[in-house]
Amino acid sequence: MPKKLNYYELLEIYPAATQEEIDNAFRLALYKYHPDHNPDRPDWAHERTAEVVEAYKILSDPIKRKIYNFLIFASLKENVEERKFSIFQVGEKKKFEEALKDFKEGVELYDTNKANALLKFQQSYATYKMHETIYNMGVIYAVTNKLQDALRAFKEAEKLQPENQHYKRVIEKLAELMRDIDRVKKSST
Amino acid sequence: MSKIIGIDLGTTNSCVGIIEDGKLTIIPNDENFRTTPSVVAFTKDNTILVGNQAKRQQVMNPENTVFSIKRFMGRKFNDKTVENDIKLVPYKLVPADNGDVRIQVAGRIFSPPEISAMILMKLKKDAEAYLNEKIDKAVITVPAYFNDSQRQATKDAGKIAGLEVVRIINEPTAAALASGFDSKTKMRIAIYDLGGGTFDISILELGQGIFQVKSTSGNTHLGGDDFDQAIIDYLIREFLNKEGIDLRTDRVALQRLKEAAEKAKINLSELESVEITLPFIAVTKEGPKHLKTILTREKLEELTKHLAEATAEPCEKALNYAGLRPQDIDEVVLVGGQTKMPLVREVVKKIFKKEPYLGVNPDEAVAAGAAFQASVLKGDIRDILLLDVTAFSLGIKTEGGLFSKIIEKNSSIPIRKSEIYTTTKDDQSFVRIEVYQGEKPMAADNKLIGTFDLVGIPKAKKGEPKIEVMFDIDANGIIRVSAKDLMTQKEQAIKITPDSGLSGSEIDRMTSEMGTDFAQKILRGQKESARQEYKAVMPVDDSMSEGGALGETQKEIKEETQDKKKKSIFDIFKRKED
Repeated sequence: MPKKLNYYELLEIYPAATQEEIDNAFRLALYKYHPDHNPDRPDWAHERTAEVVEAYKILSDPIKRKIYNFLIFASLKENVEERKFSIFQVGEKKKFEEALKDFKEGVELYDTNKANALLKFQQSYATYKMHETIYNMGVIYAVTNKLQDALRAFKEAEKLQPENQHYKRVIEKLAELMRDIDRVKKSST
Repeated sequence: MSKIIGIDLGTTNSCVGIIEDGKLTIIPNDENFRTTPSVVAFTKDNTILVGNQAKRQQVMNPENTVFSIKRFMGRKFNDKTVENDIKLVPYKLVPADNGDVRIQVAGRIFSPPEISAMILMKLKKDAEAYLNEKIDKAVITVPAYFNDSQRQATKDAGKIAGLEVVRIINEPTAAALASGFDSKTKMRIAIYDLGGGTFDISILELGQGIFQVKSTSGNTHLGGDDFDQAIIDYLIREFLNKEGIDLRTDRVALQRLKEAAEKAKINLSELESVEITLPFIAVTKEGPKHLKTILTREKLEELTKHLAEATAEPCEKALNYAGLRPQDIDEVVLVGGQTKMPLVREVVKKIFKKEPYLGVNPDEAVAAGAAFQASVLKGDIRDILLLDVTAFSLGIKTEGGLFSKIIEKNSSIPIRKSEIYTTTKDDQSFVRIEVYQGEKPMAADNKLIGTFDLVGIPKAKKGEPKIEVMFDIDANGIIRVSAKDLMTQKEQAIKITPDSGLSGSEIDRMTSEMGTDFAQKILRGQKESARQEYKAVMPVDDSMSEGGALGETQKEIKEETQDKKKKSIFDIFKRKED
């Protein structure tokens, strides 16, 4: 299956595009993909137009766009670093392997069912604490708009692996995003 | 490519338009009228009359004259609105095996799409005669508030009439296309569409050729018919008080009342008062009784104020969904015959805090818009694009009978959303999905669209199969459900059981029947015999018709409004050409 284009790629714009540029790109994309202009391939046109409409909906809403941008940056971790266990930690190793299995299932479920993926990660984390797992839980919280929970999860991941620069940046960006959202909310009330 | 006509298939009147060489033409019918009554009559001599001819003989033949069929399209017999309407129509309604409404007339049972198909057939024939060419493709409009079943029924009607319905578009959106506003500059318009049977409000944003609907709301059961009914009820009450006779049980009297009520209503848009005279409306032992009364505009407004004001709530909802205030709307366009009433215009002014825009012909704008869309689909117009929304949320029934939304109302269409399904038992071979449309939290309170069974799922442990179900709403507003097995990436078999509508074989049978038997009956005895029937009916008709007390004034008004019509249609051309 070909990888889905991200919304910027789909609308053929730069991530820093202005609202006016997004409006124009949306119109051009509609003219290009809409079923009315593609009578010879209606299914393809329908699918593409549905994607374009969704992309426009997200990118033309300042808050949704910020969250989307953040999510592109904070993508799911698909692998777990190798852990070394000594011969005295047989029980721990077993737990790790069990947790790893749930982790992988969670990753697999992510695209199709966020709620079940989250359950798998939670199960995995309860068995054995890996920073990758709690980070992924953070990503799902962020995708489902629970930004406070997401921030808490990312901070937990950072605590488990303080040297990870990516975690630090994710936390920074998310905090910034939440401040922006607060500001927008305040100004609109 | 063959020509595509645009059809406004209305509750009370229908209208046909076409764009040729960039010019809009509203196609007149065989009697040279620009709109055709949506009435079908079955006469004693085995002829089917459609349009003006059917309407003229309505008083003499109420049981076999079908009008307002649009109210029953895609509806269940036990539907609340049907329960109410059944009392108002003189023809007989019966339930079908699947619970849909059927019409029993002239000793036969017809589905609403078949009756609509007869209207479409007539419109098609008139268009063919006018254009001197065979027509087999059409864009047909429906109220924005039509659900999937109602849209499907409309599409079926087209097919039965021998028309390929290349697109179903929403009436207010069509009207926006025909409003002639320069779509190059960004602006927001509201289309207030109060027709014969339905009310729609749509908020659109125009810019660079794109007509994007932001939100829509409405009431599928509020229109000119209800205004007429309010007058009829009043006349019946008055007559009962004065003469002690209840006219409600007399179908012929009811039909004459309806005709008189509609005429009075139309005239009261221009006049301050009219006289309603219905001689020989009832016969008693003491002799015949006549109904004679004066109806003032003031009284009419008192009788129908609640109806006009009932349009306010949908308007507020639509504004809310679009996130706009009344003052954000640049123009409010009035569409539908009922918007000619001064009271309705007052209400619109109050809601949107501005004078409504009167530059479009309320009777023809929808057909004109359908013609524009037909031209876009034909590839002749390349710089206009419609992006509509779905008026209802789409979802499925989940545990405990709850309604779980998958597509929110007012989402732009076409749209696709997918969900992943799995099994709850080992070796489970099928999963059932019940799809509903509506906004209520319990699935059963919404409209069931159909049951979709994922069948032939390969044997596996519970929870292992992963089936992606795609919920699509296409540009027609029609729902499609398809499924894919994510493990094998193969199309998953799906058994669809729609909750209502006609089956493929039923449609095929009706299509062939319509093409042979009924087509002959419809074609037989067009104009000439109709004129004779008209004369036969006239002597007992009321004095409001031509030659009566108000005859002259009425004629003048008619000519004047026709002049106005010409002018505004001309305006449409002009703006389009600019």
